[in-house]
Formats: sequence, C-alpha cells, structure tokens
Amino acid sequence: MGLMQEVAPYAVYRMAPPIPRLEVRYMGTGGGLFFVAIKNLLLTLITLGIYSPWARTERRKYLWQNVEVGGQRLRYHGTGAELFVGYLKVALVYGVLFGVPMVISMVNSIAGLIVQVLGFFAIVLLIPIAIYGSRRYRLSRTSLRGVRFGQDPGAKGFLRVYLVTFLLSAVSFGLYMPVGQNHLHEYLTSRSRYGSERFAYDGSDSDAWRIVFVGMLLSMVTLGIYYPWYMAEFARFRVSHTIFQGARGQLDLTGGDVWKILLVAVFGTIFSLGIAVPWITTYALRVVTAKISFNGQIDYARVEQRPVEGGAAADDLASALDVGIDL
Amino acid sequence: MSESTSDVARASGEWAGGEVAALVPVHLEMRDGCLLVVSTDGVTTFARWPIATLRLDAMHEGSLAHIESSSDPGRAATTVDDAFLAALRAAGARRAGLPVRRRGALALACAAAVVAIFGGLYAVAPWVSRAIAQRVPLDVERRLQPRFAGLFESRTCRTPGAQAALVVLRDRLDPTGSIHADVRVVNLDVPNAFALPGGTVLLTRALVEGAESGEEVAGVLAHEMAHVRHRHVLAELIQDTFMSSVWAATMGDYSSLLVVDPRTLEHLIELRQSRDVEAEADRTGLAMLADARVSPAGLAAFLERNGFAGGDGELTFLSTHPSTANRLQVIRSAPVVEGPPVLTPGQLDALRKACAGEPEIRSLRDLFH
Repeated sequence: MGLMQEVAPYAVYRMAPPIPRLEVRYMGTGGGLFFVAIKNLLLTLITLGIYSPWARTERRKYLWQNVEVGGQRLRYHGTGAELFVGYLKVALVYGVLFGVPMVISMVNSIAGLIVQVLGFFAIVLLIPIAIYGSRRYRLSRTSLRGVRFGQDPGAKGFLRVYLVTFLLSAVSFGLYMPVGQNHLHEYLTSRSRYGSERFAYDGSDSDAWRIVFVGMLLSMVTLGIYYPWYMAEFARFRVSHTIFQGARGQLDLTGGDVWKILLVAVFGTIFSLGIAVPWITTYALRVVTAKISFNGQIDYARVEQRPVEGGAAADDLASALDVGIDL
Repeated sequence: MSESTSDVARASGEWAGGEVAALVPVHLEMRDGCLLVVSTDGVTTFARWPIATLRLDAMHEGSLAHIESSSDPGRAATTVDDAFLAALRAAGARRAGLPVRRRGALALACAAAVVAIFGGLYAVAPWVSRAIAQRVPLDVERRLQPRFAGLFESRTCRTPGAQAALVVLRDRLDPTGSIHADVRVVNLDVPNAFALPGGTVLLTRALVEGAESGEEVAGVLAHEMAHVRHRHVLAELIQDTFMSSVWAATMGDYSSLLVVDPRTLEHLIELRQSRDVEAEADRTGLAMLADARVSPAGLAAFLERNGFAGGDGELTFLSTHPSTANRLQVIRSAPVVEGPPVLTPGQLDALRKACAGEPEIRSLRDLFH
C-alpha cells in the first residue's frame, strides 16, 4: 500500500464538519431567586394565600427566563390570573368530590361510603390527567426565539398507558414498573413540540429496565450510597434518547455531581434553617443545566409557530395533588 | 456596539418575528420617539414601536435583553447592548423588574415584614384564641369532639364508691360548680391526668392507685380543672387550626423544597406557649387548692414521686411542661391553708379500687382493642 492510501481516512476525518452543539445554561442568581421568594411569601401572607397563583407564576418566570438555550433565553408567558381561574375550577371539583359524599353520609352512611370510595377512584384517575395537562400548560406558556413549545392533546391516551402501567406493575410485583415508566415518558416526549416540530424518544424498554433494576439493586446493597449514580445514569439515559430534528440530547451529569448537589442541599438547608434554599436551588440548576446539550443540526426556519393550547386548571390540579413537575 | 448621534441611537440585535424560530440579524434604531427594527441591509423595517410602549426585559447586566412592545404582542427584538438599553430607558421605555441594588433592599424589607407579621401573629394568636374559646359554650365544645368521649367511655371505671369520691373532690375544689368538669378514672397504667375538650378530666388508674393521700389526687385534679376553667384545650385547637391555615396558605409552595420542616420553629414556639399554659394551670390550681383549704403539699409529693413531664437537666425548650424543679419551687412557695382531709380513708380506698377487676391497659393503643 502506498502512503496516500494510508493517510486518506485521516484527511476525510479532519474535513468532516463539526457537529453543531446547542448548550444550555442557567443564568439566575441566589439573590434574585431569594428576592422573588421573599416577596411572594410576604404578598401571599398579606392576602391570606390569594396571591399564591401569582407567586407561582413569578417564581416560574424567574427560573424559566434565566435559562439560556443556545444563547437565547426561554420566556414564560403564563399569568397568575389564569392560574387563579384554574384554582377556582379545581376548588369546585374538590368541593364536589369531598362535599357530596359528606352530604350523602348524613342521609345514608352506606351510600355515603360508596360515594366516598368512588370519589377516591376519581382522584386516582385525575392524577395522570393532571400530570399531562400541567405539562401541556407549562410547555404552551414557554417560548424560545419567539416560538412557543406545546404538547398535543392526548390526556385520555396517557391515562390508558398510566392505568396499564399501574395494573401490570401491581400484578408483576413492580417488575413492569420501569417499562411502564419508559412508555409514559415516551408518550409525553413524542407528543411534545417546539412550534410545529415534534420531539422524539427512542429509549428502549430493555435498557430502561436494566438501568432501574441494576440501579435499585446496587442502591439496596450499598445502603443507598449508589443511589446518586443510579439517578445520574437514569437521567443520562432519558436525555440521550431525546431527539429534536437532527439533534440528540446529551447529559454529562455524573453520580459524583448528584452526590455534591445532595450534600450541598441537605447540609446547606439544615445549617441555614432553610434560608439558603434559593442559593442551593441556583447551584443545582447551574450544575445540571451546564451538563445538558443537544448535538446535531437544528433548522429553525422549519420551526413554525402554532396556536397556544391548554388551560391552567390541570396545572392547579397537579399542584393540589402534589404531582406537578417543575424546572 | 451602540452608536449615537444627537437624536439617533443604534445597536445591533436580532429579530424574533414570532412566525418561525429563525432569528433575523437587525439594526435597532431609536428615532423620533420610536424604536425601529430594520434589516441589516436597510431594506425591510420589521417594526416601528413607540418608545412609551416598550418593555425591556434583561435579567442581568450584560445578559440578552428582550425588547417587546405592548402594541405588538408576540414579537421581540433582542440585544446585549447595555448602552442602547440605557438610552431606551432614558427615553421612557419601561424595564421589567427592579435593578439589582433596589432588589436587595426590598428583599430585606420583605424579610423583616414577614418576620414581623409571623411574630405578631404568634404574639396575638393565644389571646385571640382564648377570647374565642371563652365565648364557646361547653356543650358546644363537647359536640365538637364526640370521638374523645366515645373513646374513653368504654374504658371509664365507674364503681359507685369511686364516683362518690370523685364528686367529693370536684365539689371541694369547685363548690359553685362553675367549671362544669366531668371527672373520670380511666383504665390506663400510666400515672397521669388529662383535660379533654368539653371539660372532661381523666385521672388514670395508675395515678389513683398510687396516690398516698386524697390531697395528692386533689392537687392533680385542681391543675386539670384549671385547664378546663381557662378553656386551654379549645383555645389551643383554635390557635393550631388558625396558624396551620396560615402556614399552609403561605408556605404551601415552598415547604416541599425544604429538607427541614419549616414548621420546626413554630413547634418550638408552641412548646413555649404550652409551658406558659401549664404554668398558668399550676398557678390557678394552687389558688383553687387555697380556696378549698387543701394543702399543696400533696401535689408536690405526687410530682416528686413521679417526676412529671421531665425537663430537669434536659432540654427544657423541647418540653411541653415547665421543669419539675421549677414547678415544685412554685408549689412550695404557695400559701399553705390547711383544712379537713379531702377524702376519708374509705373514700380514698374506694377511689384506688375504681378499676379493680378491670383488665389493665398499658398503652393508648390498647384503648382501641
């Protein structure tokens, strides 16, 4: 073989264009978040809790708008007023679910008990609907480069996958749980959009199951010491199988990073009696977001604006049921 | 970089038109009271916004700022040019949020106000809740807590002799019957006494069986009847309900973020208030004993023997009651007014045998079986 044939592959490698890398950064400060938190606390206190939806919006606005994706900041367009209206709707649903059985119990205790049980099942069914709707609301109120994110309608389908996961996990003594959770995540991700362009998820069930099974087993054997490594691997798995157009997600978070965040969170909170929480949150967000990137080509010209969809009631319901997701 | 002439300021930036996510490089020009957003080749004018309608949103100095107009929602120009942004502000554009320097001062003021409001609430809550409790009729209070009565009803020891002795004790301490205490012996193997909602006072089997004199039982009973007289139980329920509602309404969004329960401080304040309430019950109980001409030595002897509710050499601030040493000091300094014995030997014996023949209940859990 001649010399030219030896060096040709190297030359081809050097000439390949670099893969575009979209980096994520959190630019907020502990002081800024503390200001938002203490102002919210005061106004919520003075208004006996009525300010709470506006407080939630202010907090989200601060967190969201300090996230930079590829040098551009996210924008949050949700309002306290729409959360407040959602809150009133949820209060009405709660009033019916808890008030009606109480009234029926006064007339007939057995009928009241039956209605109470039915109400309990109704709340269980509301959980996945709240998770889906809350995510839909938050995505539709978030924009990047002037174009909103979104999530297609599909709460009924999500409820179906949720119930299948619940039932099969119960029957299989939890062995099905990682697979079911993977399906739920795939359902949510594949219905999420940035403008007109959908996200995709290609994490396999077998890999998800292996990560959870090995992670939980090692966490138990090591009395929890391994748990942060499991958390990091699980998060890496999810992000690395998330795709948008030609770009694939990447998370460089390690178990050591998670350990550091946990230690700072636990000891910082204890020794500051909770006052340092905004600074700890800022530290955690900075560490995690700095490890996230999307590698590959994104054609922004193809990302077209879509109408805003999704009401705030599901977000309030998720908050009431304590199943909400946050940044 | 921004350039400026006498009436024109310029900067470079990007245009997010809101139709697609691709950004267009633009020149931003402030001219004739308006912001012009013009393509870099000068051919296309994307927006002409009156400066009075502008809102500048820069999270930090030097960070990417969004410029939006209330007259044209959904579209924005961005720039990192602080000098240009300052010129827009000087010309009347609104900035979103406060400057960092003012934020710090306002945060401190907010923190001080929050501490003052919570401090004020904790200072006022005991007085208000007690005033409300005093106005609630006792039979209404009994209806509020029917489960307590039902729970102890089946475990109450009711021999005729013991019942008669309890009536003698109660009438000696409250001859006018103004306190309306319902005194019972409950089958529980722990030497203690409780005041429940609705004026029910429970003396435990272990307490009456171990009593060396009627004065010991009378001393403990006076303390519990003082709780009933001051309506301490209902006042505590009212205060706890009110403060819990305030905490839930204000801290609901944040408590999940905290590793430490944010109500730890509240629990410490409540313990302090509980010690104050117990001290008040001691003082009122001693006054009742003096009025009834019963020696407080019995109460002192009982506390010494049982080391009631601890606190000695321990962390007093974590205790619901004042330390036994402090309580004994108060009791021993009370005036001693000797009268006839509160119970005859026969009555004391009947009281001690109130639960004779009943199976012993060693813990509260046994009450449910």
